Amino acid sequence: MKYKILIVLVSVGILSACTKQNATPNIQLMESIDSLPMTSMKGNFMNGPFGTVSGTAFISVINNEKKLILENLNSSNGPDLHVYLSKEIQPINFIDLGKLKSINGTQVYSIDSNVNLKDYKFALVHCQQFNHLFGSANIQ
Amino acid sequence: MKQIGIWILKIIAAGIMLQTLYFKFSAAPESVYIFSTLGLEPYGRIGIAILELIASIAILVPATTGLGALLAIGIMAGAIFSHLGKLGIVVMDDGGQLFIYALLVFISSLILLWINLHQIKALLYKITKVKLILCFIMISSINSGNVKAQAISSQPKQELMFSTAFSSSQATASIGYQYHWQLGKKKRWEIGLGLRNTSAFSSKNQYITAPAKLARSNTIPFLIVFADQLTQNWDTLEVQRPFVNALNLMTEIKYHFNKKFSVGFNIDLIGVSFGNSSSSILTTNAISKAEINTKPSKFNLLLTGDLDKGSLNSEFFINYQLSKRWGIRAVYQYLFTEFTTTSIYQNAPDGTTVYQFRNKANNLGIGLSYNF
Repeated sequence: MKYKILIVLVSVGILSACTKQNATPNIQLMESIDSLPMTSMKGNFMNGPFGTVSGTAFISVINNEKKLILENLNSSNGPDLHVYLSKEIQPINFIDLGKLKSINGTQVYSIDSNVNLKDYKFALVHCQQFNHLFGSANIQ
Repeated sequence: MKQIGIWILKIIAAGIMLQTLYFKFSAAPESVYIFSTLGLEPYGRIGIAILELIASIAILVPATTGLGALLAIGIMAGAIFSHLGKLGIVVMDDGGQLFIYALLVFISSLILLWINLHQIKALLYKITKVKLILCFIMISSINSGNVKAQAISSQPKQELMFSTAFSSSQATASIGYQYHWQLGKKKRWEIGLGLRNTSAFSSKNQYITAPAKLARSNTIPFLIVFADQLTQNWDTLEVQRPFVNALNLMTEIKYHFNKKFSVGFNIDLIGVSFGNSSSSILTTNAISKAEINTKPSKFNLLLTGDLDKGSLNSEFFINYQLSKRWGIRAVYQYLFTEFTTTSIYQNAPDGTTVYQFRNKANNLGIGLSYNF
């Protein structure tokens, strides 16, 4: 009996450790972008090898406050999706702007003011944990 | 007459150490100054104060005077070297008082050790006996598996052990084999030597700059545990799907309270690690670099604290014997895991490049032991 209890306890422990939920929310996000001055830097999302992403990426700069806007984004869902500004389409040198807030809708991400935007040509939706590219926009 | 002389020496050694303890524990400016200069504030100050307390008590208890004196000699040797080196003989206009105190304790302890040398000899004899048996078994087990049964007079005990432990960021499972030697008249103490594999996995985990000279303000073995953490030198490598197997030679010490309960501590000594390559991200000032082939560091070696190389497991446990063969234990695990990057690296402030990154985890778990 003691052993059975033990086995149950160990199994529960192992299972609970492995079922960490980290998928991205799918609520329709409508962050306001009306007051943000758009630059001419923008690009449309294209599908990556591991997902489907559509929408437009814009860069906004106001008083050296830099922002990335993803307008009408629609992405397939996956684990640990992040938004990157990257030098390469497969990210090696990049800025992690944080977790993707939602897989659909319009959303705004802050960029560190020291970042030289000319170096980072690609906005990416990237599954960080498995290093899978979901979609990319070449910002020009 | 000789007894009175011995007690005077004991009171000098223990007395001086005990009265300076107050200053150390209460963080008196002199103590803080000394340990800041040595880069050991505050853990070194408190750690050494605790060691001095142990040494003082041991010196005053007749059965352990020799051991206490040996410990005091070690601490005072450190103190005297510090005075001759970094600190200077005169510290904060004390006219060399602290240095003279250290010398007094050192000399008294030396005499006490000389008088009580038999205590140390008895202990060494026990340890050597264990070592000899150990060597003999290693040699004989290479030649043939069965010779050892006849060769040792003490009661050998074999053990298979399993444990699993968790924290919010990590899960581990370990399996090992150990050979025990019983010590002491009542055979309450056991020393073990064995082989253990610890597997650690997590969904995503943070690894920090591993080299000791960057991680800590002081790299003296053992004392490094108390040294300041130089967080300004640390960079964080986020390993995305870490999975490490650390296969190590390990040792254990165990004390039996009675037939049912025992407590023990074991620690990995040397071995190898293997596991999957993972993608990882190194972030410095918000700029990230990624690579896909970050691997567990191959070689493991216990050198204490951040001097350690590779992945090493250590466990405190309380064991409850369910039957003659089976025991169940509560385990507190302190696990070092280390990863080596391939193409991305940290440019450390001292100009070196760093490819090794370490994670230290406190995990809690349960274990089983099977004795045969």
